[in-house]
Amino acid sequence: MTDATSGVPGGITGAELATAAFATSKGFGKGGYEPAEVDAFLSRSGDAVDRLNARLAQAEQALAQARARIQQLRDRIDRDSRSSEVEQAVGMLTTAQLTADNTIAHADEYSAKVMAEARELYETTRRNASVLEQETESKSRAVFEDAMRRAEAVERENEVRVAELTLTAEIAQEELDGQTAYLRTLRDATRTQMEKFLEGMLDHLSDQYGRAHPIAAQAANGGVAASVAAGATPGASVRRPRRTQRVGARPAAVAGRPTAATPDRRRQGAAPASAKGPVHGSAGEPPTIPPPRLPRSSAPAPAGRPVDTSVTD
Amino acid sequence: MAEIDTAALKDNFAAVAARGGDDVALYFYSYLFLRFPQTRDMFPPGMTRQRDRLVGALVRIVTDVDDAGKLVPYLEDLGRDHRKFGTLSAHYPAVGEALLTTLRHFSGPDWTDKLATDWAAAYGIVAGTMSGAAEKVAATAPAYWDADILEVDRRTFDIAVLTARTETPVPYLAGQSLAVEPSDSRPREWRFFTPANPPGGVDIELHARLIPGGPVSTALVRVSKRGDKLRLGPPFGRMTLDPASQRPVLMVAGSTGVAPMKAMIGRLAETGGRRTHLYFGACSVREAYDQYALTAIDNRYGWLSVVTAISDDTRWKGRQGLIGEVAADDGDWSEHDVYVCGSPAMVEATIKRLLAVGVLEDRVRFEEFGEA
Repeated sequence: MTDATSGVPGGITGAELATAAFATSKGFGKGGYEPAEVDAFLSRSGDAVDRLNARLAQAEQALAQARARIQQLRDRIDRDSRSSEVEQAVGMLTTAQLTADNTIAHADEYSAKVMAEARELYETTRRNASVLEQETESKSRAVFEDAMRRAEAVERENEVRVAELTLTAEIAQEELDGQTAYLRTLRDATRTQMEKFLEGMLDHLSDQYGRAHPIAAQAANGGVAASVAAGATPGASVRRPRRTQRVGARPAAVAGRPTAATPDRRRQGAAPASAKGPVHGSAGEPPTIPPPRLPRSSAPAPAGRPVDTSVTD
Repeated sequence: MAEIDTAALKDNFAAVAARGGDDVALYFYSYLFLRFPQTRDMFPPGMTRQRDRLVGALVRIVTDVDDAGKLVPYLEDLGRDHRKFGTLSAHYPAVGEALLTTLRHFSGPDWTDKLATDWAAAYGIVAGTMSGAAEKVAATAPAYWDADILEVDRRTFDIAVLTARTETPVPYLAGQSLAVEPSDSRPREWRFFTPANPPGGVDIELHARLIPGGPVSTALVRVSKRGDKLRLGPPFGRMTLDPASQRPVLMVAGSTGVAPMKAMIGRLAETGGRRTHLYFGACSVREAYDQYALTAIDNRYGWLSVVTAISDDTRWKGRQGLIGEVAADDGDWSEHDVYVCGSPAMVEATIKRLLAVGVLEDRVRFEEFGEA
């Protein structure tokens, strides 16, 4: 309050009003204020109030003017912005913007489409490639596995064949061993038989010519030798058929032996003929392994079957 | 806001928006560019997405107009974010005039002086909050950083790894994203990308995956070349490491969502490393575009193990399946800080799956790829 009027020249302040002091009137003796002082103060106060009121009116007028001006300007802006020119211009700008937007949207759409197609193409190609890759892989795996199977089959076959060949070799060895034993036995038997034969001959000579004095026997021996040299042919011819017969029995025994010995003989015999395993076509044929080569025509056959058993054992 | 009748503003906005959101935004920008032609250059040539964004922001502001706790942080973010467009405080009144004119235009006979006053007051508060937040950071941080592309490594036809160099380091945190504008090929178009290297240097590694029709990603992957300019906005995002945590870390990433993970792993390595599992998932081997680098860091850091799973490719002989499921099936993650980044569908499915196997919700941080 004090501030509001303190600036007014010749004005009066609220504080002055509140603290106004007057001299006491001496005329009545009752202590009243000095009338002249009071009048002067009131007059001053009245002037101040008048001045303030005038200023207030001025301010209110200025404010009203300013408000009117603001309203005027606002109406003008309003009019301007609503004016057909502004509306037209806004409309044109809007159309231009929409045209630009459409053009750009088309370009973006086109780019999006191209990229989407590229991506799809890429993905399709990738899928196809991976399918192809898988197919190729499974095909090559099949080929590989087939080859492996075949290789395994060949290997198995080879193993069988090696086993067969080993067996064949063993059998051949056994055969050889057997034949060796046979020959050995034959040799022994022949030797025994020869000894017996010679002993028999000796006995015969003793019978023929008696158990004479060794000198007589010597003489007799000499006589025999002479008779043999001269005309013992009939005696020899008598013995020969027997020997022939005996020797003739030998091949029969040999020929029969393989069948009696072991059926393997047949395979063994066929094996060398072909590398492809057992050959059945040879079943009925005689073994191709030759029987032991013997002096068949001259060697006497061993007695009975001991030869066979010795071979098979 | 005491004297503003927010209920009346909401009703008025709903009535205006009912006339067609895009028409409203079209009118708004046409009026703005007509009255203030200098603002045109702050916007991209094609305005379709921009109009969507404007309507989205307005809807959000009007929806939350009575909830200052939600609205103020949003407006502050929005204000700071607008700095990269070159927005200055002086631009705000122009936008206010355009906004009020637009509202009046579509309100027709429903427009009243009270609405005009209230809208003006409300816009004043919004603009003040936005420009206030922007001015507050203006003293300490640039509005944007210009960068030169050093290298474009097109790993596949739709994924590229770019290296860009700024003059001064961008002060982001590992895991945060930056808005990127391909200044040469698509000016004024922005999209968030996450640096794949930890902060501190002037080189930034960006992983860009082409989104069909997305202007920024298409420009970066297919058009950009060595020497092109990029403009980078201020760092953004809350998927960052918790420096106070000593817990082991689980990271689950789909496709280029591995970028923030690499940045965080780089940061972890600078601070000595923490037990970390990184699960990287993609649909096909093609999308496993960074295997070389992942194998390298896997071998380099003893505390890190990297698992890659491919969901749809017969050529892949490693782990199969969706990465969220592979990770969830692999162990007990209830003691871990969990980070998830990928497509929205991947992030949603992964988090759902992880929560089901005992991951604590408040330890999960995630980021989704936006559009464009």
